[in-house]
Order: sequence, then structure tokens, then C-alpha cells
Amino acid sequence: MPAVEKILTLLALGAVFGFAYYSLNSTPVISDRNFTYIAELEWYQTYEEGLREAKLQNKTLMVYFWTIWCIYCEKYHTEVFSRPDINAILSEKFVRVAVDMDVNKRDTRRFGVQAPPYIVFMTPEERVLMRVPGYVPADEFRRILDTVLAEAER
Amino acid sequence: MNGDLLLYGAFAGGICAIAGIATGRERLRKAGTAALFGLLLAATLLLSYAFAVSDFSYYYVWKFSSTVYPLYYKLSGVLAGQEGTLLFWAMLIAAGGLWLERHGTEFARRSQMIVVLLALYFTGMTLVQSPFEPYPGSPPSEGYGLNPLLLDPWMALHPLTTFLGYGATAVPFAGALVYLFMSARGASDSACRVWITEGLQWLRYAWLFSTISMAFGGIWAYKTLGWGGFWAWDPVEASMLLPWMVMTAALHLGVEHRRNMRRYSVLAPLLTAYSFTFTVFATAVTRSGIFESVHAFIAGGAGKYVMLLLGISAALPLLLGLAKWYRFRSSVRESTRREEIFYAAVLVLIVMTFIVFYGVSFPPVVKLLTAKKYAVTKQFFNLWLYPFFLLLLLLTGLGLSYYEHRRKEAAREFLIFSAVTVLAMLIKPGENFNIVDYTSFISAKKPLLYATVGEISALSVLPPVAYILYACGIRARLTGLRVREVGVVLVHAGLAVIAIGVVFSPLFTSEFSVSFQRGEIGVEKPLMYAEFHEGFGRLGTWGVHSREVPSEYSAVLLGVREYLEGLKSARYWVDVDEFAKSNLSEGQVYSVRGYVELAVPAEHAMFVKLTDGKASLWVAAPPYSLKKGEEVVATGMVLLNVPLPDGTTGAVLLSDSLSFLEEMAFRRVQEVEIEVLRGSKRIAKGVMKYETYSNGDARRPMIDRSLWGDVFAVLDMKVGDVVSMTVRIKPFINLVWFGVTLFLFGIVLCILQERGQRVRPGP
Repeated sequence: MPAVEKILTLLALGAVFGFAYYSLNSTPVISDRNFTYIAELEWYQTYEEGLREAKLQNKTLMVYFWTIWCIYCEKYHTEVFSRPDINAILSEKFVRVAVDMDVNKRDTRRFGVQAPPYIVFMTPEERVLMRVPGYVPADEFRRILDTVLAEAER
Repeated sequence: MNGDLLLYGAFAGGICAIAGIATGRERLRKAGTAALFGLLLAATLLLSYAFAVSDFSYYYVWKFSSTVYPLYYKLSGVLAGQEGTLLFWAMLIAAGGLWLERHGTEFARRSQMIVVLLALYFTGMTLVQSPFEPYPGSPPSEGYGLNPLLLDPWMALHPLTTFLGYGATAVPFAGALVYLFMSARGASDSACRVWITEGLQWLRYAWLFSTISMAFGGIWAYKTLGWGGFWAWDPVEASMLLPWMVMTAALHLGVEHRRNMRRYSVLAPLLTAYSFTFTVFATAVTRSGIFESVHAFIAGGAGKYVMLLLGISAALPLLLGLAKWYRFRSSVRESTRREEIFYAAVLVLIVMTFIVFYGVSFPPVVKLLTAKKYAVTKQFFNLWLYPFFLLLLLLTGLGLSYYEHRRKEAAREFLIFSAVTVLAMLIKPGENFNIVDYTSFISAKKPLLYATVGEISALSVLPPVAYILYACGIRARLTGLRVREVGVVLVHAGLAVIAIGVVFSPLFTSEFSVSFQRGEIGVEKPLMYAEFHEGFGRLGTWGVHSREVPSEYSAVLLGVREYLEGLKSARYWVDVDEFAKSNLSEGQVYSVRGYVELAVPAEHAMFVKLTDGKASLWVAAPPYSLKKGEEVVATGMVLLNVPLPDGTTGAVLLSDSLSFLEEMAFRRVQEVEIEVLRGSKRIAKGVMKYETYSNGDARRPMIDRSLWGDVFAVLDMKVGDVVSMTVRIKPFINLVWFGVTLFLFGIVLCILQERGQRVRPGP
């Protein structure tokens, strides 16, 4: 092989391996066998697991319906759930379930959710506190969390 | 007639052909190849006929057709599922086997062996998952029907063109394998030359049809999927792009290989063979059920055989290529500058192919192995591909304008355009010039490289595009108006135009929402901003919009109409008036159609008075909630001399259920007409629809095209009291379609020129 082409080939191989290595290490993991990872929080993947945990800890349950291709979910992850105050409330006061609607069709059907994003707040006794269809900006979402927690106290 | 018999016959024919080739018996081979193709063709025609006449005794026909479809939608059902596509694909491959009969060489016989084996394999898969499976039980009179989203003229043609393209890769695949095999064993170049002369032409056809198929798919997605995007990096779209990219690389390297057969004597056949392999990969992605996608129809019974074929067709060329490379490490030591430019561009294309392949395949593979799920979204593809895309465009410009006698000028131009490109990466007139929204999900960890690429300005696509157009100009000037050169120039100019369209159109799309009360006809309302920009390839919007700011645009609701279209099965009822005139005898069963005039509840039942304006009839039926004037069909037994709710006695139809005509209609259409104004100037007017079918809903947008872009409006949901819609202003979008048209013209010219002056194989 001529020298110039040899160099070009090596460069291309470098690009291929560099890309494979870099992207594998920088592409975010969104779930593993046990949890879904959103906004640096762990989320249960099925309603049953979440409910069991909510009963154990006697905490309010937040069931979040999402998909990977939904841009308002992305907005939830980057602008709402990750805002420090909201993030803290979510991690301390709630048991979180993230239902990937493409994968967990059973829970999607159980709650009759048509389109992501969609959030349902529930008590451990399965009393629905609030349903939030669609996207809600951070300030309003914070108010919703406060309302839900107050409601759960009653 | 049982179609499976034809398939078994074809299979037997294929075996005869193989035996004929292996033993050198010419008549057996000819008869076998002809039988293989002929019977597969007959089976395809039989299936098409069954669709044309709505023969629901075949389950496959029942599942994908309906009596109310016009003929072309009926016929599009042939390729709506895996069964039909496998059959069609087998038939196309067998046609390739028959075509090879034209050549009398040993090379052709060996290629034919491979092609016939492939056709046999596909026939076998068709038998495993046969389209001729009978409907379980007695066949119904009406079919289930296609997914309503597929009821679109572009979609009717999309699978056809896809598989014409896929089918055309089989002959080059075989040729490339035989070439690798024979040349590794020392056969002369002249004995094998036919592989590249004929193979290139087959590849061009495959390329043409794949391009058309992607264009049609894109137009369909733009119109039908509601989000108004032509490309979303869905796994199936991405995997369909793969064979196309490999074909592109193979064609470019193949041209060099044909010029000098000692150059690229491993890589060119390898890429050619992989054009086929990736069509199998695309099928595996579509049908195996491993990949999550809008196209993931049904994981079928032949899925594992597709995976097996994928493994074989990926390993075989690689092994043969390695063997050849090992034995004949190229003796070529010198390369021309032209070859180097070509080679560099092809390498960039290969790297891009790998990125797409990796993006499609690594998340499901990793998930199978470790249960870890990675977030590979369209941002992933856009981020990684964009820098290589720019490089490819620049190299394309260089390759087009490079001639030995203008070596220096070409190098200078390349440097200038590259430098301007780098500068343009930094110039951002506005926020929405960011190539990728790097704050999005994909870069949750904010890796440096992503943040950097995410900051590149979209303006950077303009210098390379200008370079290509300039280079096309130079080339046209230097070569004059030779057909082939015009073809080459058109293809690359088309690429440049497409590049502007795909980068700028999603970037500058503005999205608005507006809703009216149903009765607000003639009322003008401002369009509210939903999102200022969507980012490169940011398609798809669900949920509540976060910002609602009035814009300079407004919409006027011109009208709302609702109607039913097409009755699903043939008329089987009589009107009330005909019923009243007929000679009734007690106990006879009738179906009567009429409008509800009065409904009187009774114990466990109700009496309904049906009328058609001329006569009326009382029907006893189970309790329904009925509206006055509703059109129903009542079927049941006639009882005479029954005391009626109005005090008289007369005939009553004892019906255990009422059919609402609405339910029997092919579809219920809600039509909303609007006009869109900018200030006080009308910029668009049209009708959008919401269609409800028995097996799903479909939204048909209003698209008002103009040179500068489209106004696209689609209903958010079924029209109730509120008419709510999303309106998008999409500039530059028509550049994409214009570019594709140039591109296709170019390919056709190249094919025609090649046909005109092909070197015929020797005797």
C-alpha cells in the first residue's frame, strides 16, 4: 500500500477506535438491572418495586412516565429534576419510579398514560394525590411538590 | 391455488439449478434457474392478485388489506409485512440469478451459484413464514387493514423501492466474493474484470433505488408522523442509511478499481459485498425485535434466520478479503494525488458508517449483555457525524475540482475553503445557530468534546457547500457537457443542496400553538410561540409547551367539517321504505337502515322508531344511548301485529344489536380549514385532517409549500369542542427535496451513460 494511503488508513482506524472508546465512556447510562438514573437520582423501574419501597419507608410515591426520545422529558431531567432544591426534595421525601414507556408497557397501560412526560403522585396506600400530564417548568413544579406533600400529610 | 406449492416448486428449482451448476449440466441449470425465478414471480403475482381481489382466505391479506382501499393501497399490502417482503426479495435475487445466464464464463457460473443459494435461502425463509398461511376459520368479508399511518401514496411506494434497491445488491455481492476467491487463487485480472464492470452498474441501480426509498420514507415521515421531520435517527432509519453509505463508498472506490484493477483490490470488493450485508442488517434491525423503533413491526418467525444470514454474509467477505490480502499484499507502491483524495473521502465515509453502525447496534448489544441502557439519541448521531460530514464535504469539493494540470490551484482552494469553514464554526449570529443542543440529555456528564462540538455554528456548513458548487462549476467548464460528467456534477450539487436543507431547516423551524372554540369560525387568533428553535435534528414534541408568547403570526379558523368515508363492506341492508313495501312474513330476518326518530325505554330493552322520511319502523333493541337523527342498521327477526308504544299495532324488528353506520365506515374524517397570516398578509391556507379508523387514528397535516419554506399545521387531537393545533414554519425544507431531485437525476444520467457504452463481455 502506498505510504500516503497507509497513513490515511491509520488515521481512519484511529478515528474509529477513538470514537468507540470516547463515546462508550461519555454516553450516559440511563439504567441498569436495578435502577434508572435520571438527574443523578435512582429510580425504581416498575410500579410494584416502588410501591413496596414506599410502604416500607412510608413515603410518597412519584411515578414518572418518560421515553428516551421525548424532548420534554429531557427538559425535565436537565432543568427541573436537577435543580438543587427540587433534587433534594425528590431524593429525601419521595420514592421514585421512572417508567420507560417503550419498555414497561404494563405500567403504562395500568395508568392509562398516552404520551410522555406524565407524572402521578400517590400515597403508599395507592391514593392518587395528583396527576401531572406534560411538562411543567421548575418553579411551578416546586409548588406542585409542596402541594403534594401537604396533601399527603392529611 | 395454494401459493406454498409454488414456493416448494421454486425451492426444488433452485436445488436443480445448484446441481446443474455444480455438475456442469447446462440444461438442468437453465431449467432450474428459470423455474426458481418463474415460480417465485408466479407466487408474487398470486399474492398481489389475492390483495387486488381482497381474498381474505389468506391471513396475510386479511391483516394488511381492506375492501375499501383503492387498488394501489391494496397492492401496497403485499410489502406491508415480513412475509411478503421476503417473497419479493427472493424473487428479485432469483431474477439476478437468471440475469447471470447471459454470461457464459466460469466467473458467471460461480457468481450464479452464490446468487441462487441466496435466493434459495430467502425462499426457505418465506416458507418458514409464509404469506400464504390460510386465515384460521372461515374467512371474514372484511380485512383488518393497514396501520392508518401507512395509508399514504409515498408509503405505498417506499417498501417497493427499498426492496428493489436491496435486491440489486445480491449480484454485486456474489461477484465480489467470487472475485476475492478467484484472484486470491491467482486468477488473472482480465478473467475477473466483469465483476466490476457489471457489478458497478448493479450497484448504481441499488444506489438509485435506495436513495429514492429514503427520500420517499422521508417525505412520508415529514407528512405523516405529525412531528413534521424527515429524519429522526430512529434505529431503522439509521440502519437504512448504512447500506446506502457503504454503496456510496463502494461505488467511488469501484470506479478507481475499474480504472486500475490492482488498486483497492481488497477494499473495493469488500465494500461491495458489504452493501448486501448491510441490507440484511437493516432487515434484522427492522424485524428482529431487538431494536426499539417505530418500524419494529412484528418480531417474525424468520428472525433468527435473518440473524444467521447476517452472520454469514458479514464473515464470508471478511475472511476472503483477509485471505487475499495476506497472500497478495499489494505490490502498488505509488499512488496518484487523485487516488489519495478519493481514498481519504472514502475513509471518512467509512468512519461515518461505523459511527452510525455503532450508534444503532451498541446500545441493544450492551443491554443484552449487561442490562445497562445507554442514552443514544439523535444528538449522539448529530454530534459525532457533523465534523466528519464537514470533512467529507470539503474532500468532495477537492475531489471534484482536482485535475493534474490544476494541482496547485486545487490545493490552494481547498486550504482557503477549509480555513473559512473553521472560521465559520465560530461565528454565531444567534443562539439557534448551535449545531447541537449540548445541554440536552446526551451530555448529562458534559464531556469536553461534546460541549465543544455542540458549540459549532451551523454557518460552518456554508463554505463546504459553496466549495462543492464552485467545484461543480469548474468541472462542468473543464469537461463540457458529457452525459456522465453532467450526472456526476448533478449528484454532488444535489448533495450540497441537501446539506444546507438538513442543517438549516430543523434549526430555523419555529413552532407555534393555537386553539379555537369549535364555533369560532372567522376568528383570528395569534399563534403562540411554543419553542423558539428545535436545534439540529431536534424533532418531536409532546407535552405542554413551556413558553407561550404571542408571535407576529396569526391564524383564522375558516371551517370545521366532519364526515364519514367509504363503507367497509358491500351494502347488505334495505331502507325502511323498501322494508315497508316488501311482503313481510313473521320470523324472517332483515337488515334495515334508517335514522333514529324516537327512542322509548322499556323494561330491559327499548323501542326505537326508525325512519327514512318516507316510512317508519319500530325496532325492539337492547338499551342504547341514541341521538335523534343518528343513522343505524338494525338486523333481526320480524314480528307482526305487536302492540306498539304509539298505541297502534304493527310490525316490529326484534334486533339484538344495532350497528351504527359510523362504525361501519372506512374512516371518520374531521377537517379543519385555516389560513395563516403574518401581520395582515396571508402566507398559507389549507385543510388539515384528523382521521379515525377502526384500527387506529391518523393526523394529516396541512402543508402549504412555497419556495422559501413550508407552513405546516397539524391537529393536536380529535376535534371536540376545542380545535387545537400546532403550526410550524419550516424554512429551507424544500431545499432537501430539491437536492434529492438533482441527486436522482444525476444517478439516472450516470446509469444511462453506462448502459450506452458498456464493454460487453467477450465470447
